[in-house]
Amino acid sequence: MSENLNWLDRLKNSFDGFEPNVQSNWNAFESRLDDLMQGGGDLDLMRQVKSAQRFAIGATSVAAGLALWMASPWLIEMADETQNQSGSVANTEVLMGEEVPEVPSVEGVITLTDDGSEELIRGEVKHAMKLDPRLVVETTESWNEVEKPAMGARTSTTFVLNLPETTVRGKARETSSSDFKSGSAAASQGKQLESALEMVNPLASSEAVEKVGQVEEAKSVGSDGDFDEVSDLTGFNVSVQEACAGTSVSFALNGLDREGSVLWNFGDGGFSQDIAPTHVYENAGTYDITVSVRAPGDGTIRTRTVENMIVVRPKPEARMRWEFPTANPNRATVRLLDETDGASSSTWFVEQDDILNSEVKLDIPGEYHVNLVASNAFGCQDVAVDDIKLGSRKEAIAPALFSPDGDNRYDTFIPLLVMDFAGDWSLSIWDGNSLVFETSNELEPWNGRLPNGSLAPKGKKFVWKLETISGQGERNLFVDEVLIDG
Amino acid sequence: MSEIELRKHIEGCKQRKRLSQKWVFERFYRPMFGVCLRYTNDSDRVQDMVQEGFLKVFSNIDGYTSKGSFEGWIRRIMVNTAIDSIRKDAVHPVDATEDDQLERLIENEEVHELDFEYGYSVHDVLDAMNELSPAYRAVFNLFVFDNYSHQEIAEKLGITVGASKSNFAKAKRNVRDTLLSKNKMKVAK
Repeated sequence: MSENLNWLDRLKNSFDGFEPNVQSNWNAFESRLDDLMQGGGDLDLMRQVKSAQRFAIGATSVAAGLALWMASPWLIEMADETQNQSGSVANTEVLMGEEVPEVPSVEGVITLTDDGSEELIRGEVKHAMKLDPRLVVETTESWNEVEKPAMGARTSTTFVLNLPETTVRGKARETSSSDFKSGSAAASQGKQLESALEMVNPLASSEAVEKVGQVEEAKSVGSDGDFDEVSDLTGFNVSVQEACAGTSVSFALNGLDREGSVLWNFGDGGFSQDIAPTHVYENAGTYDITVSVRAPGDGTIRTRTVENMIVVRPKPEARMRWEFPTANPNRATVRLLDETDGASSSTWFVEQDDILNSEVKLDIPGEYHVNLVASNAFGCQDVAVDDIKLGSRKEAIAPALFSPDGDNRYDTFIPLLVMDFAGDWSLSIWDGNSLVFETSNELEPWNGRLPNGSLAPKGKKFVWKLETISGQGERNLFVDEVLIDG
Repeated sequence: MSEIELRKHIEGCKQRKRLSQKWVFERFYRPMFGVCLRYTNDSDRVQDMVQEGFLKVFSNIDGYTSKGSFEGWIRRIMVNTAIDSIRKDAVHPVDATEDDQLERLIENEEVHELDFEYGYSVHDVLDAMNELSPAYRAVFNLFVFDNYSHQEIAEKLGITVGASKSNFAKAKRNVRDTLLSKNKMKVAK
């Protein structure tokens, strides 16, 4: 059998380094790549979100019946589309009496697989476009990522507004865009609007304070000031609730007939026509929420504003840094430092493991994915992601030995990586725990001299450490040994 | 090519940077062409496999974890792409027969006959493999060059382990016979 193996092994060896003399045709390939990347715009979005370690992905976008609303909400809706993160389905209804011609919708399913093996992300995209001058666009996107459990980076807040079905009944009337916009609808016909506002999972899950809203203050005003005031709103119960900036807040209406149409004004310039929308507040502050409901059939419009309904707490900006207190050629100790302003707690993940303290020992060479989940006093969290890259002699392009004997050949030591390095670097030479030499100038390599001025003895090995920070802020550590040769 | 330069461009590919994609494409095009060329001798088809493979490389680049060799990772994608392409080939269905006897027979022959003193040129081997059916060729390639076990080959091609082994035995005998008949090697006896 050994001959047999030899035969096949030699067959195999004959292909070592085999590179047929063919021309790579990048231009032809690039056009295929363009098609893939364009068609994969959604994939690209998912990739970005995934790489940012966000755990609930979704895009909700609604831009419907645009002509019916002011121009500004339209622009904001479009901007919103890129910001919403929480999975949700948007349903758009046309707030308009006229029929819009049907245009076939496009549906598709995207399944993204990672490394060709496991299905990590599922997603579904349905796009329906109705190409009518009155412009109705419906977009539904929903995603769920099954790869990892949430690392606590997300806080979720849900407001539920109970809206008994009776409240959306009103006298039949014509609805038109201008009516809705000017708010002249006869909205006072309905019965009392009773709403209870409930909040679920108000802040970071670990620090969740379960609150059920029950009312101190109830207010309602017309959306444009001249909306017919509905006087019987005392039952509209609300309570101030909290959420974190940058996280999705869900709103829900209970008791609304499915046929009804809704407009939410989130108070920060964002709008939605979804019955149960989600919204991301980017900035801390106190916001008024307005919801307008149009009854099915008769078009009665009611608008309720709850002032100061939601208090959005600032989100921390997670920032991290690390140091290398000790390192030998096989292993480095990395001290992780949370530099987030106002952080009250931090959780570290290196690769997939959460680590108990902020020091971790890592093998060299290797590249390690680090996540920092930082929380502030409000329980709002942010995640920072970075890579710790640890290299050895090979990656730093450093010689294994040199001979500081003054013969002008290999008299000094410096890793070649630092030549023309675009960024900062610092090289240190160590004899055990004592520092022998340090430089940040490639014109001043180590000449083999010890601190006392003598030459390092032949046959001795020294550990060197090279830390680099590129112009783009990428930090690397290289550690290895160098031998003093004769 | 320094490791750092490669890492930089892999990172660039993860950020969908066109220049990095081009760099990776051009750096690995030829070796990957060599990989796919082992699976079929139709050079248009090889070109298509390689391009298809690179599309997978760039769209799955986030799946590359920096743990193993990047070239090895690309190579696996290329092999998978080549196999997918061959499997679509209804004209050359995979031979799913098992033949233990043949397998043993061939093994015995080889002990006596095959101790060649010299290596082979790539073109000799490619020529010999061109004589194989695409299915035999795939099994032979996967086992000899791409280090797949019979178990893995069986899973990949949807055949039994026994069928993989006897396909391999037949392929091996054919390759050997072709090489011998060309008198391109000496038999040291």
